[in-house]
Amino acid sequence: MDGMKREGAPMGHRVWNGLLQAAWRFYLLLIVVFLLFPALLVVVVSFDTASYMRFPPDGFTLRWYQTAFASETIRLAIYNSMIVAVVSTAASIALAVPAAIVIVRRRFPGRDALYTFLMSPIAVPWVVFGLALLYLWSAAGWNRGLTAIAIGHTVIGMPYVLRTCTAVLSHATPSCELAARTLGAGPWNTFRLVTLPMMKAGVIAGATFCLLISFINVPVPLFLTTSSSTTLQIAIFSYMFSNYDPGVAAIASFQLVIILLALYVAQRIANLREFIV
Amino acid sequence: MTNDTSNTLDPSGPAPHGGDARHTLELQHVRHTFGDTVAVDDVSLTARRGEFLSLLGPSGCGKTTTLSMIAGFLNVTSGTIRIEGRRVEHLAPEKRNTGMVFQNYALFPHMSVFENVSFGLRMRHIKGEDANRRVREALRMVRIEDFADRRPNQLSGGQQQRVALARAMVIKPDLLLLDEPFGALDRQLRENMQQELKSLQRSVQLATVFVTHDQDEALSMSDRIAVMNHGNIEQIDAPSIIYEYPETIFVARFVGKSNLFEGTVVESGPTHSVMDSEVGRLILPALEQALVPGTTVQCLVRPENVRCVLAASPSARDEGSVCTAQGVIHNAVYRGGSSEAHIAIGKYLMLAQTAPDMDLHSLSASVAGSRTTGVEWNADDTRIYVNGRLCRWKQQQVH
Repeated sequence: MDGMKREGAPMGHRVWNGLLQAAWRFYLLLIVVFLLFPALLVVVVSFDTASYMRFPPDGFTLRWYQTAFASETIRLAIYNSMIVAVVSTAASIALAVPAAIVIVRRRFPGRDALYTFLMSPIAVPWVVFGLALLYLWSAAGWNRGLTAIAIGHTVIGMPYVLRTCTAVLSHATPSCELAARTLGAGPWNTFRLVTLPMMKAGVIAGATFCLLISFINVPVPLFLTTSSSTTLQIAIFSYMFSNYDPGVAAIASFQLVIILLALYVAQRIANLREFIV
Repeated sequence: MTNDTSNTLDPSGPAPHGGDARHTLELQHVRHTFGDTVAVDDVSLTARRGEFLSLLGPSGCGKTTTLSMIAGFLNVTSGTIRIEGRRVEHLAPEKRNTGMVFQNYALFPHMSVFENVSFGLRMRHIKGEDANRRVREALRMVRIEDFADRRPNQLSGGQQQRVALARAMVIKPDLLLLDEPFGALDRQLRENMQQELKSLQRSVQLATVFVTHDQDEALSMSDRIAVMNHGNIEQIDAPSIIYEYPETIFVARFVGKSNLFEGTVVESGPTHSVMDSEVGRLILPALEQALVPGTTVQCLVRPENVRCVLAASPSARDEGSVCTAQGVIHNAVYRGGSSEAHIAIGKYLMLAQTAPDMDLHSLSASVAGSRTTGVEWNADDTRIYVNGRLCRWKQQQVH
């Protein structure tokens, strides 16, 4: 944006730049209206006094938060969601980081095939994947539950970490790692002190995606959940079937806060901007 | 790894690993293939203590592959590599105690200049005041001590290369490896860095292997140059020998400008030899090994040895000390420090390089219209090649 405001530009350019800026502002406005406003609506409603959802609100209360968090089901769901998110994100990183290094730094037959295979979950609709997991679990006679959900989220989230890690690593010159070797670092120290720090931004960006997916993905937990392994998104779902009060808005607002917090932290540690464009 | 495996600073000291004390680096019949491709065919070379050895050649000649095998990034298919007498060809790079500088600097982007330079010391478990002192010393040596806290991306290309050099030298390596380190710098800076590196290298007496495709760089910096082609060393000699007595046609073409033309042996005796060439009959000194009349030879004359003259000196020609020919100036180019002219002699275009204000301009003025000129060069400035290899003059003192 700053580049557009350079002084001394010819008249024609100035008019053109003004138009561009106006268009850009309009675009931002649309984003605010259609993306942020509905979410904001939910937050506003969650503080309303009425026992049904309405707009505009009339009054302010924290009652729905109290109700929601008093529920054993909701508390368990939040706890379960946290566990699944952390475990599946950690597993995604553990799988994607070595895969990214091998794919970017080594040349071997089947390298492109391996990359395509590992990225393929991104192309499978979540519902199809959730259903497929359900079939697999029943066919194998395994117990559904948190482990199954965590595995499902790992498969879905891993490609995001792989994508961001390969992107970052292919921009980092391999001679850095060779330099570390000549300076006396073995393969492990080279990975720990050079390769991994160079991939840091990619790992954090990918991990943030993973965390978010684990919080927003409905189909996988929908098919694999049991009464003791409800996650937050399923809890919101079932709450809406039986209740019409703003309690669901309170839970959703809480979910929103967690997601924004995760994004903020990630943004502080690593510059996410390069992945969002 | 011990803290200080190097005694390159003390040339009189014994070799630490019981090898040949004269050679810091010794490659014997080193070969590298991948699949059907032969990247390095058969390379043998040595570098003495403190010697600056360049590997010079066109891209794909195997020079970088050779360097990578010395550093340990690539395995040798066969052959041996010794550093300070110690067999290293099967050791990992981190066990070879070499310092390497890359063309793209390869600084760790997430570390400050200080951390970059201290990395090698950290890997050797040298810490605290000792490490600090050595890092400061190295930074001072390359004159970037004021930038210790900066990140690499806050430095210019030249400054980054200085950091890379400090990082490679602070560990006191047995051998410094340079992979086209100045390739990314502009010309002025490159020339400054070359001379700075050279004086630094000389002052610490550190054996250095320098990979480059830039002949000027190799000629101005090296103690010896190994000219490589197709995975083999064509010639390994001091720069002046490489330039003045190129062992093969390839070296003659690759290093410097050259006039190469074909000839046939008419007579090859103990006192002189006679050739019929594209530029006329040449009476030359006797060759070390007499050639059979009728043998096809290649003749080389460097452009700066060719003189343009108004009239040839017949006496000098007849006694065989000067080769002469008549030609027509095809074009003359002023190049500031020198002038160049292409002179058509028969069908051959000979390149002559002279002092700028001399022969060419005065000559083209005086012979205006005809542009005809005499051409001569000292007979013993001619080089004769049979089957691409140099035939030396009899009793020629090379060294």
